[in-house]
Parts: sequence; structure tokens; C-alpha cells
Amino acid sequence: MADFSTPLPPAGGQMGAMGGGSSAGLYGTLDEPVSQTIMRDVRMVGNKMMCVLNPRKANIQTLKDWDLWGPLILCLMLATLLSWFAPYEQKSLVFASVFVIIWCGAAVVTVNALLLGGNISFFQSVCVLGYCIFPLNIASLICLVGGPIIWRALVVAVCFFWSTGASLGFMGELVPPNRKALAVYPLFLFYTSIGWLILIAAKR
Amino acid sequence: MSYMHSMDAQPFAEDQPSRMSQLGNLVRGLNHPVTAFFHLFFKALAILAYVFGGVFNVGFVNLFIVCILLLAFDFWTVKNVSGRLMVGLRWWSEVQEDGSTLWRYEAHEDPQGSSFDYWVFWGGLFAPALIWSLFGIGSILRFSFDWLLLILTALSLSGANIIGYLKCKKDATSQITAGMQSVAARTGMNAAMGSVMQSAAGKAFGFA
Repeated sequence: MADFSTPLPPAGGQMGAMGGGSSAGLYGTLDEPVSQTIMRDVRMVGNKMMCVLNPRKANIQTLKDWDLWGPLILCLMLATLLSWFAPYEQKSLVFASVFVIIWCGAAVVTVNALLLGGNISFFQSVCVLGYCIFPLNIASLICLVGGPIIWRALVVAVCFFWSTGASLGFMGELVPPNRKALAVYPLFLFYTSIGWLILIAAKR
Repeated sequence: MSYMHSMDAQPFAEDQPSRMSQLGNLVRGLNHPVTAFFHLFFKALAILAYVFGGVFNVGFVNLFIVCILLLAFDFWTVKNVSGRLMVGLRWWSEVQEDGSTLWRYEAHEDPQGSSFDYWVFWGGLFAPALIWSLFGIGSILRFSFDWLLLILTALSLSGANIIGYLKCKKDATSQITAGMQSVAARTGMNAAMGSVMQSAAGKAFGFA
């Protein structure tokens, strides 16, 4: 692995995550072995997930350093969980639909926020929306274990508000205040549709 | 007796080491053999998984996940490691205070890679995109739109790297031609001479 650590002197900046949006001033990372680069990205993904789970303590700057690893992993997890309990001939359909709904939905919500004059970068917003699915992942895990419909509806509702609340804190701040409702409404729709999918997927 | 004979068989005995040394020469032509390996490894695995994954009967979902993860690893390797080491190019983005994204393209003035590194890198960048687009046409003709999703993901990931590195390279060429022009202006060379210099610089970088 020594090959990877060969320095390239004048190239400044950071190695970045998958998307390469990190702006945390991580200079001096050119000589490090690849294992350190990977571990830093892994820790960063973990930090962001904790941010989403505890939005009140979250530091907005943490979520501004965007990456797409977290959304990718969460999206694959949710799609797998939901397709797990689908009838055999519908597995691929469920998986593909969840995948498309998450990525296209996040893109549409983002474009909407951008058109409303939000000062946010496209990838930052997709990153936040993707990470904020995390509570819904937990909901789908709990729902698939089983339980009466009331219990599952309650779990999904709680996790839906958790997800929406976490993303609201971020999106609400970046859109002009008089247009906030217009930006927030698609956000609600986005998480509602995912929550609804979880509720009906767990029906068996 | 026949055993002894086969031991004496000169062509066979010589053939093996020479082939090995050919491979050795090939690897020695690369300044970064490990990087070159990983540059091609994940791409090849993803394509092989897509083509032969059906044989193992693991189901759409598992195969899809494996392919997507391999493609993401490949994207990461190409973007963060192999471009920087093999051809001395790097692209990344910074988010400004006002929310706009600033894309940065950087080219090393004196790339460390050999010309073979250069071919492996650019070949490895374009060939998979070509292969995936052929797969894409195939999956449209078969109406298998769930697999088209994977192919579109593969194409967008490799497309991002292709665009990023092409911009880096364009940047490098324009810097060099700009340098040449200023040299031509300073030394009072005429315009014809200047353009010759420019095209020579282009050739040195494999354009023109």
C-alpha cells in the first residue's frame, strides 16, 4: 500500500469523501496512508448520523461538509429492508422503487429549494435529505420485527417527525423566511411517502 | 524417459520465464502498479458481477447492492487516488459561504506517471463508460428497467470522473499553451513560430 502514500507536492486541498465536498481545511493529508483517509471518511459519516439522531445538538457545519456515502448506505439499507419482506416476484420492483424515490425525491426537493432562492449547494441539500432518512431506517427495522398496526403506525409517525425535524432545522435556515412553507411542504411529502412505504411494506 | 525428455524440451522451458518477464516488464512500465491495479480492479469486478452475477442465483437485490458498492468504491479510488498518482490530475469542489459550489481542477506540472500509466488511466476511465452504455442499450431493448437503474448509476459515476478529469486536463493544456505564448511574446518570436510551439506542447500531452 506504500504506493498510495506517494506525495504530490503542489496539489493542495483535501482528499474529500465520495462527493468531495469537505471544506474542513484538511490540508496536509497528502502523505497519509489510504487507511487513514478511509477511516476519516468513516468517522465523518458516523458523526453526521449522530447529528441527525440528535438534531438539537447538531452543528450545522458538520452537515455542510457534504458526502454521498451516508445517503447511499442508508438508501441501500432501507431498500433492502423493504424488499426483504416483499413477495418474491416483487422484490426487485420494491427495491428499485425505493431507490428511485429516495434519489429522485431528494433531487426534486432540492431543486425546489434552489428555485425558491435558497442559498444552498445542490449536493449539500441532497446529503442532508439523505442522512435524515436514518430515523426512518430505524422505523423500518422495528416495523419489520412485527407488532400490531397501531404500534407500527406510531413508530413510523415518531420517526417521520424525527426525520422531518432534523432536515427542517437545516433547510429552514437556508431558504428565505417568507418562502419557508413552500420549501418545507415538499419535504413533508418526501418523508411522508417513504414513511407510508414502510408502513405498508411491513404488512406482510 | 519421457519425463527426462520433457525436461530437455528447450522451447517450453524458455517460454515460461520469457512470458513471466514480459509481464514483469509490463508491470515495471507502470510507476504505480498498485494504484493501476485498483484503478481497474473495482471496474472489472462491477462489470463481471453484472454479467455473470445471474449464474450464482443471488437475486436482483443482492447483486444490485454488490454492483452499486463496487461502483462507488471505484468512483472513490479514481477520484481520490489514481488520478492524482497516475496522471497528476485532481478535481474537487468547495462550497462557498453563499451556498454556491466552486469546482476546482488541478494539474501537476510534472506528472510522475509513465506513458503506460497514462494509457492505463485514460483507458480505464473511458472503456467502462463505453461498456456500460452498451449494456444500457441492451437493457432498454430487453425492457429490463430495474437493471437500467444500475447502469444509469454506473454511467453517472463514471461520467462525473470523466468530466472532472477532462476539465483538469484542459486546464493543464491551457496553462502550458499560455506559458508558451508568453515565452513567444517575450523573445519576440513571430506568430507562426509561436503556433508551432503550441502544437508541440499539445503533442507532448497527447492532444492535437
